[in-house]
Amino acid sequence: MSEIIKIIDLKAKIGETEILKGVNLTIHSGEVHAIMGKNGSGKSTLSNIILGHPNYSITGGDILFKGESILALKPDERARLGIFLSFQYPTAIPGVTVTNFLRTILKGIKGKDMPVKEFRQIVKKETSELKIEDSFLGRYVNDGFSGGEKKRNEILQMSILKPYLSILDETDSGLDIDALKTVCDGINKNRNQDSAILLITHYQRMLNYVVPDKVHVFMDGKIVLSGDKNLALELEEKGYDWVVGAKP
Amino acid sequence: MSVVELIKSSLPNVTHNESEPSWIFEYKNLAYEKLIHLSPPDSKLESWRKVKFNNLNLNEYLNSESSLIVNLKTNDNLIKLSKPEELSNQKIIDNIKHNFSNILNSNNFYKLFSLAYNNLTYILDVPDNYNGTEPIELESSFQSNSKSAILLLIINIGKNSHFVLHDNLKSSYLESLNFFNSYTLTNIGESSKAEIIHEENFNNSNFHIRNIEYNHERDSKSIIYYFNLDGYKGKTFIESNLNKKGSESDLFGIAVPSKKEIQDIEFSLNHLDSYTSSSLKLKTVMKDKSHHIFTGNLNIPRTSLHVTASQLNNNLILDKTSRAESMPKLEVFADDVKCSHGATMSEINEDQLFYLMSRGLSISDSRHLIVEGFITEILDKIKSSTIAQDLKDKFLRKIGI
Repeated sequence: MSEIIKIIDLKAKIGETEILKGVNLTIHSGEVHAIMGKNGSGKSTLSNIILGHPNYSITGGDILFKGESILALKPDERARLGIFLSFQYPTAIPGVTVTNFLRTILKGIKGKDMPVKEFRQIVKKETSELKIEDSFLGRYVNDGFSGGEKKRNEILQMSILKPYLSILDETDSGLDIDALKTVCDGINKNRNQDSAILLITHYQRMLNYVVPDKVHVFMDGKIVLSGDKNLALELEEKGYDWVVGAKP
Repeated sequence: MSVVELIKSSLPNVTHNESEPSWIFEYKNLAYEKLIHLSPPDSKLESWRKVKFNNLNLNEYLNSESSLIVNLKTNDNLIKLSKPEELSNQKIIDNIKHNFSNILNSNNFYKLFSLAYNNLTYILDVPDNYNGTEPIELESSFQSNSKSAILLLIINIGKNSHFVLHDNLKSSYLESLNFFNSYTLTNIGESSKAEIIHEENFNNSNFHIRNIEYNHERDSKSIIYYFNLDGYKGKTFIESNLNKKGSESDLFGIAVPSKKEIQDIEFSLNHLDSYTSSSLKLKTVMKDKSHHIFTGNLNIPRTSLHVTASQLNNNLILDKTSRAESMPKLEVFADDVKCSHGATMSEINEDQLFYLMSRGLSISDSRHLIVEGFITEILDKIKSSTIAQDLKDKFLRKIGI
């Protein structure tokens, strides 16, 4: 197992507000980690910062991807290294069809156009596994999509781009039980020994389908407690408040 | 001296082109007589508040030879493009006289101006029961010696027909300023459907003042596209009159002013009968000290019931030097109507930019895709993928990102 990402004492702020207050996290290839925490604890901020969102400034620490610092890289350069973020609220791109979008981002990541035949085969396979209808591909990206369609579209991109690190931010929110199962099946198909997944979630229910190797509790801008998959069950039962005072 | 002052002081007499039938010259004279008693529109009028033509000496352009070549590209014998002197069907001539009389009664300065001083008149006749779903191109090309063209075009579409036209105005780059004035009137017969694409490829030395007008008979439908690619300064009126029950009109447009260009587009949707519907969507992309003005007039009189109407103007401003103005104006006097309107002004959305960059696209590729999507939403509505793709290429080249 090789180290995919190592976050070292990461501190960040937006404007004058400190959001991350010393995050430490290491994920190896083949692993699935879950970060759980209350709303506003800084979980989504961490995912945006890993991708290099320009609204945040890093005030301390480092992020190493496969051993190299990525702090100086722009979001697209981080994406091309193999980091993928499934957004909690993916934005719409009106006028750009899903097919056109998939072709464009594949070219962006790979640096060249994929032959049309090969592209079609891949898209057909992945859409079929995610139970996505053909007509979906002709619609504009996330424009008028339901919550479930948006999340499927995110996982479709992940399946096609095959990143080394997939960060899934609240992918379970807004999904009914059937959609959650389909999306989780899609995520599980992307598990392999060369890549890693970081799940960010409020609730334990997604972890029944995508079983994590490690679970971390995020509070007030940092990880305050880590454990195995049973920690998620404990959180489900006791809530987050008991964690206060517990040793990480 | 401003153009307005020039027109007031010296409107030259209209000239008689020897090939024209005498009745055309009579209408030109009637228009001239009316014109000299009218005040030319100036900036005191709401419609002329923004776009000013004070560096255009219009007098230079009147009564000159037209430098526009008009060509209908079709082998279909059912569709006829004629000059007035080529007309033999008295019914068509009577229709045209009726249209001219309406212009005389309009008190609209630039419609009268087009009638009085036009150096090109064409009539496009589409018969009853015509069924053509493929677009026919009406190409109007400015020649290299272009100085001005004043065009009067009347399109008559018969009953129960389907007609698709690509009204394509072309001009190459010219050093000297040139002027284009036109009045295009389309009459859509009962139960007919018209899809008309108005494309303007002016050069950047062009002034234009255009009136594009549609009249609808019962149960007729129009899908009107207006694409402005260039032009130094322009004022365009697009008027759709839903005269009879069951008529519908959908209007879509894109304008991409740049390099200090000023484009002013004013739409009027007049619901003159019950059970009529309209929609309007105009998108603009601006950069390089350009200025765009959108006005959307919606008129629903008290007697028109069960009307639906919507209008939307989206402006994408690519730099801080450009300016967009959006003025939806709704005059709704009837009770039983459904209306909506909206306008947006924005720079490139940061969330979209981050989303695309998180997918490996560079900042310039991301901006390009966002702008492409912005205009594609309108272009996707055109059934001809060839025309849509050609327009997309032209727009993106003009926007240049």
